[in-house]
Order: sequence, then structure tokens, then C-alpha cells
Amino acid sequence: MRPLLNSAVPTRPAAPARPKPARLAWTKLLNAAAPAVSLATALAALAGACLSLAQNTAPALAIVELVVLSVAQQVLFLYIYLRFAKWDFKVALLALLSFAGLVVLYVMPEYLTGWQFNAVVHRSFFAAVWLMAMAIPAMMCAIYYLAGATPRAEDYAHYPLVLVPVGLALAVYVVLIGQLVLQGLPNLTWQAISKPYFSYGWPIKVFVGGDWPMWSSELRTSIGLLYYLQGTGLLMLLTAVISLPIGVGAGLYLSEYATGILGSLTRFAVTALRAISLLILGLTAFSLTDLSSGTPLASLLHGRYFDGFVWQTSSGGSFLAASIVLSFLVIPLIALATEEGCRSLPPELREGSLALGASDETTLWRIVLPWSLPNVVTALLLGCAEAAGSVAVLMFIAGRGDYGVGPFSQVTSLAYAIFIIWFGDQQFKGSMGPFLFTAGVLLMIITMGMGIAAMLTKRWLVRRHRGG
Amino acid sequence: MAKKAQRWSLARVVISVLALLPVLLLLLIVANLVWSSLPAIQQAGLPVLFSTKISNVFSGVYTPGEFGLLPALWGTVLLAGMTLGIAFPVSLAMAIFAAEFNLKGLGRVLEVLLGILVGIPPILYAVLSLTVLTAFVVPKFAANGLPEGIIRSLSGLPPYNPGTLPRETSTLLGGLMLSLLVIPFMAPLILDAIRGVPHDLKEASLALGATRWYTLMRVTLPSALPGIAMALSLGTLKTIGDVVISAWTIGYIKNGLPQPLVDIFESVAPLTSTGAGLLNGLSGGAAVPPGPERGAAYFAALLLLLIAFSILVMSSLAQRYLQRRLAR
Amino acid sequence: MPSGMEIRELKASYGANQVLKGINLDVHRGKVTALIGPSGCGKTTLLRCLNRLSELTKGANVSGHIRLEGQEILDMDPMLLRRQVGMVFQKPNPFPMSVRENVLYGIKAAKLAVDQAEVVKASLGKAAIWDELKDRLEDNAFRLSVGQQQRVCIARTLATSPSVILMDEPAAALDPSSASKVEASINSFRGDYTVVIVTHNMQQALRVSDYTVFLFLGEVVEFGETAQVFNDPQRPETREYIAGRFG
Repeated sequence: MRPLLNSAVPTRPAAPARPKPARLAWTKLLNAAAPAVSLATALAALAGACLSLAQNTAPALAIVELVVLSVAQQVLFLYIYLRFAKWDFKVALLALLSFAGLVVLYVMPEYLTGWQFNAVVHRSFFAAVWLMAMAIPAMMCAIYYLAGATPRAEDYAHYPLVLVPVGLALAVYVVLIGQLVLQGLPNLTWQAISKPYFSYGWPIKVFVGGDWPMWSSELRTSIGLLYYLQGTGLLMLLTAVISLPIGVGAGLYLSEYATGILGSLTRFAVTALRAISLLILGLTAFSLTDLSSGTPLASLLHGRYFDGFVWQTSSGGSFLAASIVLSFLVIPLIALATEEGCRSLPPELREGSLALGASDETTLWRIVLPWSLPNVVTALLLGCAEAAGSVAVLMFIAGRGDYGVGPFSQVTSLAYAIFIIWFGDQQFKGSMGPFLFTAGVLLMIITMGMGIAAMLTKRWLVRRHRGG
Repeated sequence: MAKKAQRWSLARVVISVLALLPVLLLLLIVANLVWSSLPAIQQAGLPVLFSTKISNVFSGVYTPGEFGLLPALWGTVLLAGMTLGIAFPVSLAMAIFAAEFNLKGLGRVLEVLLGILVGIPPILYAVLSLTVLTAFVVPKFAANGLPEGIIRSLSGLPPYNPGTLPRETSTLLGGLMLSLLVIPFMAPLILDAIRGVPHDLKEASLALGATRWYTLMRVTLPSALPGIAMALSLGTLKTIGDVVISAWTIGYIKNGLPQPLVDIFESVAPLTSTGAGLLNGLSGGAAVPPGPERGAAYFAALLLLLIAFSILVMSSLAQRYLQRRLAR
Repeated sequence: MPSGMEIRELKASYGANQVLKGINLDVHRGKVTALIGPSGCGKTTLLRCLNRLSELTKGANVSGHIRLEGQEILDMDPMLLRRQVGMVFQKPNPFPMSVRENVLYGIKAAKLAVDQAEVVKASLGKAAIWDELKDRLEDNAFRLSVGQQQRVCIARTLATSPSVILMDEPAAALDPSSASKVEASINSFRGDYTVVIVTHNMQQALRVSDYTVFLFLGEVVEFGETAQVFNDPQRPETREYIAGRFG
């Protein structure tokens, strides 16, 4: 479509394309040389910093890198003056500080103490810190000039500032989880997960002497995590059962009916329950089941076992008690998720249902709840993961699980087992010691599995229920 | 969504009853804490509770009647300071990366990773502290709380064998592991805050020729301050509330304040592990009988509750102030 | 100093959606050019291509040539471009800072060394709001009325002395009195700035613009002096649109 040009002002003709001479490519290379070399030395310095953090390296490496860095910065400084006709003092400062750093490292003794600190710091730590502090600004300046010193180059230059902390943190996570798996996997045998640590069994010996058969039970000892795995599962189940109705109810209340003081109070209570320390919950669990307080509730929630003849009380609290206290933690999770789900419901759906004559309850049941289902299920799975991983709540009421697992028996779980492998009695530590990392791997599988399941279920449910 | 005048249907009754339970539970918890710490306040008195001497049947040296919680209070402050000092900048960097400086969609990968990492329970970080301990802390910092460590590293002996389970503690170690716990929790919150800044403000800044970094610093982050304040306060609450990591990596009774005060290489047990230690010494065994010692444990928890509530109040005040300044 | 722009074979698409199908246009130096057309025909997209804000949207693909005084802007550093080509948005979007900080934002972002007080006074004056705000420079811009906010946004754009000002329905969200003040400002820009204004309001186009471009379904249907396009349209589509038969 030819535009109808109707102007009195003549338009500028298009500029002819200029042929690119071969010389231009070489000058581009030379132009990039100084910043590129500076960038390379900065990256090397960063690598050296990581190496110094990981091992107690000799200072020679750090000193060499600082020398090279300093020289590169000086070259860059001259280059900037020659090309852009300005003095970039940041680069000069970096050159100076690098030199100062290498001097300090040269004279530093291998271990430093001082100021009455309860530590002796190896000089590789200082090397690492200094190298990192020099490397990041050096990278930033180098990238800036490599990209041509334009405003867009400023944006590129800030990438290292963001990427280095992120990369380091992720590397730490990878290394640590890798170590956990490496040390825990070898001991992950079938026996480890299929046998309990210690249990009294049903009678296995029958004395037939005289006229009467006599039963007697015998100790069975084996080393395994079975009861702990069962305990974790039971804990998750009971917590889910208790906290789901209350959590959904509270969430519905907050989004549908909450007004005035009672509404704000409920909201505050829900937020506060998430914010309080786990120690408080642990002490609450202890008070609930502490027999010395003499309340009937305590004796109800106390742990007990059946020794073949009669129910005996053991120390500590039952799974029921632990799940009740754990649900204090999980209820707010579910409530807030339910509320968020209800709030995201498009008003047209709700109004449409009411306009068709449906009552409030029907609308709630048929429209609102299914819509918030993804949020609720996700929160439930995350709550189960928290129940599986919690130690602080169980700390004062749990035990070794010698007598098996049931709603009224003494509570135990995989997480608690890990805890007492470290803090428990010597015999337990001795025999279960090798299982420390194994139990850790199992626990990680359980909790990470629930987290991944939560993410995947949310996506699947959103697609099913919301056409998302 | 209008809240019209509603009838009291059966559903509403059930839901309201269910919703009142959290309020009741909270009241019961607080009441129990106060009631159970009374023996300590009455028998030992507040001056003893706020002294700096503390010892316990479960710690090495035991002098009856000493439950000073001041070192524990300082331990909480020190630990929180160190943890947030590491976790906040890293979380901020992660959020900025995922929101603004997204390289080829890696931001989304980071979000998924954080969603997976947030599920790791504190006990696992406690176990992992052994690895960090033997690989990093002992070789580099061989503190006096770690007597074997320096001898070994100085004499070139190999580090500890996990089978023998060493037992070194320091606030440094606790702060490192606790910040690993808090980062996947804080970073998504800060990310949400940054994403919540209205798009037209960013466009206006870019249309004026500002770089993305300038826009971030001058427009986006200041506008995201309420959300960042909330993330910071929730992270602080998580830090001071954690029991397992601090018990494992720092220990549970600290007699006297550290010299100098900010010595992170000492094991200054925070309120959480001190409270737990006062009750049953973390040995998995029986608890102390009812009395002032048990009351002191509950008192430590009560102090934590007061600190948590004041942080909640201060943060909501701060958020309200910031939001008022940013409201159109 | 105002600048002229040349647009040749500009194509823009968002994902699979081809919005601009080959635009050829001249924006004359120092004149006001209006872009009119029904909703969804690509007016805003074309405007956002001129200062490369189109790149902010995911999946945006822009090809063709846009030259600012002979310089190809698709090769330029976008930030340097946006310091020469400013934009005023439909919904006023001042920053949550004082009026003074708002006006000086572009100057500080580009690190220009100017007399700041003088720039503030001149920009607010050109936006016809100096008298109202000269004692309220430290007030938070969010506290102003919508009309005042928009004029502060205009002043903010003027402060960096751009050579081209793009305006996306600047008066659409304003009350009539503020709208007329904005139109008066636009008329005063003639000669000092090149203005490209997108508008739904044909009377407004008649009032302020020298040239009018009628855009339909991503193509330039008609382009010429405003008087000629409105009184004697050459194309049937133009005639239909101006007569209000569709919009």
C-alpha cells in the first residue's frame, strides 16, 4: 500500500550502506582485548576464592591471582583513558586494593587469633574474602567496557553482582545434599527399612512342660528404621485428619463470614500460630501429656502400650497428642490457603450459582470448595511434610518406639530418631550411629517428595477444576 | 466481594465453630505458658531469671538455683543477626535474578528449585552441619569450642570420621545452617513483593531512558518495600523460633555472656535450645520435676512469645506506614 | 531540537499474532502527527515500536527500519534512544516521589549536568502546571489529582529535552478541563518537538495535529495533512471511519 505522502517538508533520503573494511574487525578485537583480559583474571580470582573457601590452600595461589588482577586493572585503566578519554577511578582503586591485599597475604601468618575471639582463623579465609571482594567489581567493570560502555552495558555489568551470591548459595545446597546422599545411601538396605530397632514380640517360645502350655515373650533386637517410618506415616495421617476440617473451616470463615472483631481476632490467631516458636508448641505438647499435672486429659493423651496382658503407660505422649499439637501448626497453613483459594474465585461463578437459586450451602459445597481444592490439597501436602519433619514438637514427649506404632502408643518418628541418634543414650548411638545419614536420606525423600507432589498436584488440579 | 447480611445456616454455624478453634488454641497455649512459668517467677524471682549465670543438671557444672536467661536472650539476638545478615542479601539477589535479570528462563528454574528446597526440615540441616563442620569450620576456624579440631588440622590429621560423630558447636555454624533454612523461605516472598509492583511504574521509568538497574533501585525496590518488610519479619520469626538447628549446632546452656559480645565462635545458646535444655537436657530422657527449673524453661518460651508478638506488631506497623506512602 | 522519523516496512508480531503488517510512514520534524483508527488496529503497538518499549512484552518480534534523523533505532542502545524519544502514557503513572523528583528523574537517570531548579521550572511551565505547583514541589505526586498527575508526567518527559514525544491517548483518562490544558500544551510543542499522538477522539486530532495517519488492521490506509484527510478522504475506509460508521 503506497502511503499518500502529502508533505511540504522534504524527507531525508536513506543513508547508503557503508562497506565494512576488513580493518574494522581487527580494531574490534583490539578494543575488546583489555576488558576481556580483565574479565578473565576476575573470573580466575573468583575461582580462586571458591578454592580457598573449600580448602586451606597455600597463599601463593591467592597472591599470584591478586598480582595478575592488579596488573590487569592497571592495563584496563590505561585502555579506558586511551579509548574513552576519561579516568575511571573505580578501576584504579581496584588495582590498588588488589596490590594491598597481596601484600597483606604475604606477611600474614598461617593462623590468626586476636581480640579474644574464640577462634583461630586460617589465612585462606581472608584470601577467599579478599579475592571475592576484588573479583566481583572487577567483573562488573570489565563487562561494562566489553559491552561498549553504553547504558545497556550498565545493565549487563550488574549481572555478576546478582549471579555470584545466587550461584554460591546453590552450590552449597548441591554439595550438602550430595554429601547427605553419598553418606546415607550405602547403608540404605532392605533390612534398614524393614526391621524395627528394638521390640518386644509376641510369644514365640512355647514351653510344654507338665500339663500346661506356657507362653513367654522374648526380646527381639534388630537394627532398622521400620517403626520410625511407620511412625512418620501415622503422624502425617493423624495430623492431616485433624487439621483438614478445622483448617478448611477457618479458611472459609475468614473469606466468607469474617467481620468485625471476631474476624480480625481469628485472622490474628491464624497468623500468630504460624509465627510462634516451635519450642512453645513442644512445651505445650509436654504440658498436655505430663502426668505430674494430674489432669485426666494428660492421662488420656499419654503414651501406652499393650504388653500382651494389659495396657501399660509408658513415658511421653501418644501419637494422638503429638498430632493434635502438630495440627496447631498445620491448621493455619490450610486456613490461609483455603482463604486464598476462595478469594481467587471469580465473583461471576458465585453470583451465577446464587442467581440459579442455589442456597449458600450448596454454593459453598459445589462451587467455592472445588475451586479452592488445589490450594487446600497443596497446603495439606505441605502440612504433612512439616509433620514428617518436625522434631521440636515431639522432642519432649517422644521415645524410641520400642513397643510398636499406634494412635495411643508413644510417639516416635524418623525425624525424632535422627535427633536421638545424636542426643540419645550411648547404646542407641552405638548401634544406630551408621544410620544417621541413611535416616536423613529417607526423611529427605519423604519431605521433598511431598513438596514435589504438592507442586504437581496443584498444577493438575488447577487444570481439572479451573480449566487453567 | 460484598459480605451481605447472611442467615445463620447450619454450614455457617459449623464453619464459625471450626474457625473459633484457632483462637481458643492460641489462648490456651499462652495461658499454659504463663501458668507454668509462675513457679520460676515466684520462687526464683525475675532478677535471677535475668541474670547471666545458668547451669543445669544436664550441663557439666551444676549449681542449683541458677537460671539466668540473659545469655540466652543475647544468643537469640546474635544468631538472628548473623543468619539474616547472610540470608537477606542472598534472598534479595535470588529474587532480583528471578524477577528482573532473568537469563533465558533460568529464573523459573530457580523458583522451582526454591520450592523444592523449602521443604527440607530443620533436622536435616542439623545433620548436614556435621559435613559443614568437618569440611569447612574445623579446618578454617578451629575455635576453642572445638579443641580437637585445631590440633588435628594443625598436625595434618584427617578430619573426623562420621562414625565417631564429633560434637563441636558454635554460633557461626548455627548461623550458616539456619540461613540455609531461611533462604528458600524468604526468597519467594521477596520475589512476590517485587512482582507486585505495578507494571506501569517500571514502564514509565524505562521510557525515560533509565537502565533496568536504575529502575530496580529507584522505583521497583522502594515500591516493593512493604512486601520486603513482611518477608524480613517472617524470616526473623522463623530464625528465632527454630529449636533443632540451634540445639544441634550451638548447644543448649551457655553460662555467662561471651567475651567479646559478638564472638560468633563461641556457642551462645539461644532461647529456644536453652528452654529445651532446661526441660530435659535434650537427652531424650526424663524431664526435670515440676519446680523453678521447669518454670524457667516455660519462661524462656514466654520470652520468645513476647519477642515474636512484638516483631509481628512492629512489622505490620511498618508495612502500614510504607503502604500509606505508596498508595495512590 | 526536534527530529524527524522514517518508518519503512515495519512489521511487528506478538507470538503468532501479526499486529503490524508493513508500515511505511514519515514523521515530519517539528510537527504533530496523529494516529487514528479503530481499537486493535495497532496504533499503540506502532507507538511503542518507536521507542522500543514493544520489546518489554514477551514474544515480541519487530522487524523493518525505523530511522531517527538517519540513525537506525533498532540498532541503537534502547536507553539512549529513549532519552531522545519520550513517552506519555494513557493512565498517568507518576512515581511515588515528590513532584520535583519526578521531573528530575530522567535527568538523574542519564546523569546530565544541568541546573536542576531551572529544568524543573521550565518543564512544569511547558506542561502548563508551574503556577499550580510552584509551591508544592515537595508534595508526593500521588497526592495530586489525575489531571495534575498527567501534566507532571508530561513535564517529566520534557525535562530530558527529547526530540520526539510519543503520546498514547494522553487526555483519555482526564476530565475536560485538564484535557483541554493538555491539548493546549501539545499545541505549544509545535516547532520545538516532534509529536506523535494516538487518539480515539477525532475532534482532538483535528484540534491538535498537522498530519493524520489512519491505521486499519495493521496497515496505513491513509496519511496526509489533517485538514485534507478529514475533509476530503481519498479512501473508502477512511470515509467510513470518519463518518463514525465503525470504530
